[in-house]
Amino acid sequence: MNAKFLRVITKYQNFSFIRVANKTMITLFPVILIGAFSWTLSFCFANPVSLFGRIVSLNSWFPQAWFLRAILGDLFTVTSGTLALYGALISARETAILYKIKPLFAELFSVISYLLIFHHSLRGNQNAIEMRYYSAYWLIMGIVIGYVVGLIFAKFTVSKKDNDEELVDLARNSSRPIVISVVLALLLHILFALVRTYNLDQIAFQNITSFFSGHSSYWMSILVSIISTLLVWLGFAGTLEFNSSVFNNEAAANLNHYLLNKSYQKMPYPFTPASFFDAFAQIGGIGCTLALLIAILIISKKKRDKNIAIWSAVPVIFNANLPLALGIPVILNPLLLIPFVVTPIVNMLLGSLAIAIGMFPPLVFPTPVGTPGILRPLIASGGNWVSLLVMLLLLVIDVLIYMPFIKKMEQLEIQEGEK
Amino acid sequence: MKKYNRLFCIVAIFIIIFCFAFPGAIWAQKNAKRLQDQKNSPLAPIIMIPGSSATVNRFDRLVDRINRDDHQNHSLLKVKVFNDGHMTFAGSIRPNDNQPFIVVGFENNHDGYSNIKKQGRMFNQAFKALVRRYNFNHFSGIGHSNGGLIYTEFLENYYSGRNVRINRLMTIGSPYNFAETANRETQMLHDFRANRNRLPKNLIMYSVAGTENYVEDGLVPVSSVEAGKYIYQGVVKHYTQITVTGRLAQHSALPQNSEVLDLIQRYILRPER
Repeated sequence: MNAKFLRVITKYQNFSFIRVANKTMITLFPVILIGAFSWTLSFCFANPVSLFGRIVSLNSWFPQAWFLRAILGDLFTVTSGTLALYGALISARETAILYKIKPLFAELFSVISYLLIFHHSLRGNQNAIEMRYYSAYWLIMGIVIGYVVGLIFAKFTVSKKDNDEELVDLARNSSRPIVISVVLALLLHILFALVRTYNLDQIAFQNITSFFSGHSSYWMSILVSIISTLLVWLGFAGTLEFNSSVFNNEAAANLNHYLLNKSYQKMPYPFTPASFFDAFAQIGGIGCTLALLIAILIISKKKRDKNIAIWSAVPVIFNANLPLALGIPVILNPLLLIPFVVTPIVNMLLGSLAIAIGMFPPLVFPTPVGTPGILRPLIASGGNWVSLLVMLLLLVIDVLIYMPFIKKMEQLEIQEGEK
Repeated sequence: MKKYNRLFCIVAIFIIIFCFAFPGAIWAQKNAKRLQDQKNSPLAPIIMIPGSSATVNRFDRLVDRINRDDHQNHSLLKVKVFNDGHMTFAGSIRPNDNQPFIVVGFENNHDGYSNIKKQGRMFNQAFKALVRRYNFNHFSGIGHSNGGLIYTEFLENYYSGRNVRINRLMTIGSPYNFAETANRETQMLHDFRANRNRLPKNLIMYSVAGTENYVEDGLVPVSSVEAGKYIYQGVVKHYTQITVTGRLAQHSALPQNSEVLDLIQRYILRPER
């Protein structure tokens, strides 16, 4: 059983797309690391409404913090905020190299195609371009499109036997795939423009929020967690996007109920994902990646993984776990899928159990941005220390859950290396 | 050496976490106490009612413009009340947003006094549901055109002021005498005047009229809007009549008029600390 399982995994890892995706993600690690550090410094430190900003009363002694925040925010925008575009570039390059053609024009036209497909201006403002589809949230889309463009070039580039092609000759031999990729990108762009013209994306979003906000329950929290972790695992690598905003009403209602009635009884939304998912399921970001990090530091034998863990440590504390997700990688890694999805659910179950038996009160208070995931119940309960102890215990459990999967992963890599 | 590195990293992680934990817990306790000491609920939404034939989307541009001006990122929640009594909620309120905009629209959004009465009753249902859901104990109101009439109907016949208080009300282009001039009193104006003593005494009220010429705003005579004084003046705490002219002073364009937006920001929205 074991050997068959390992064979299946090895086959999966050898698919050309998976090989390209893994190489792309590892190449992008320095980019996302810079992005994650910028985000942490900008959003969690140089920000008067962050936890740090409020503790030290940032505005009273450093009112120019907004300038620092803006500059670092710009750095974040051009790194993580443009990650899908870089993904398209690298992915096309790796695909071309894999199929043994010169990658130069494949890379160039992969970027052009990706830019073209999602290019549109902001509603109501003709001069600004919507950057949403170029950001880390759509990373997998960038990798896929780069892969497709790479394949087009691999198939249609007229190959020459000698390797001393002049650049001009290369351009001429690449003319067919250039035309094909641009035409395809144009068609997709038109399709996308139609979606935008009829506001289909806004309608879809409104319908989804309507549905979710009407059905808060315990199982909804679990469902939100599963959807979020799966989306990140598939390569929609943005944090803090879909999750928080949809259930904000309920968090607000809970807080107001507690303040007006001075009691935790008859809370309007006792199981809202806004408090469960937000507080328990995000130790170090989606998928409880702080546990992954610590598990790697404890038992990993690979130098590369340890180094990535050490470099990613500070952002992961503040829930920016993308460097780790790209560096190991966690994204599209079948061996880490199970602990990634399961650890948040385990945390939510045990955390809600702790509340149910009265170890600490329900979490009604809002947590400022930049609160490390493990400290969120501490803040949201109004400073109750028992909640921190419970979270440390949950962290230990999560580390124990991750360990066997990491062992398996490295075992496989060593086996592959020996072959 | 290498083992040293890893252990050091783990210890460093926990040091950072605890460096945040202690001051964070102290801050959280202080913050909890501060919120509890406030008698008013922190949340005080601005509840808007659109005019006849308008939908819950009527105020989208208004909210957008206000957000661009004051950078407070007010949330927008839309409630639609259907004739059979059920309601849908679309949108959300951010947890730290204390002045969200809530729009209440109706399936039956037709003109006429009998419809105004029905809409007043439906607004009361939505209002009670909102108070139950969000537990606020004070709010402000904005009514455009018939929306202002619905608010008057609500305040006179349904609003009790015991648990939830209205702070300020602004009606924009509301025809208190429909399309008639002041010397021909409609049934609705007669009823509103008859029941004016039921209006809340500590309400601060602003009635905004638009004019394209000296007489009307393209739909509603100015004297009809000014007839509001027979209802509100002398009963509520302050009654202020404002006339707006110039660009976008036509009846349906008033919610986009820059003077009107300025008035909303000045008189309805409270400055956030």
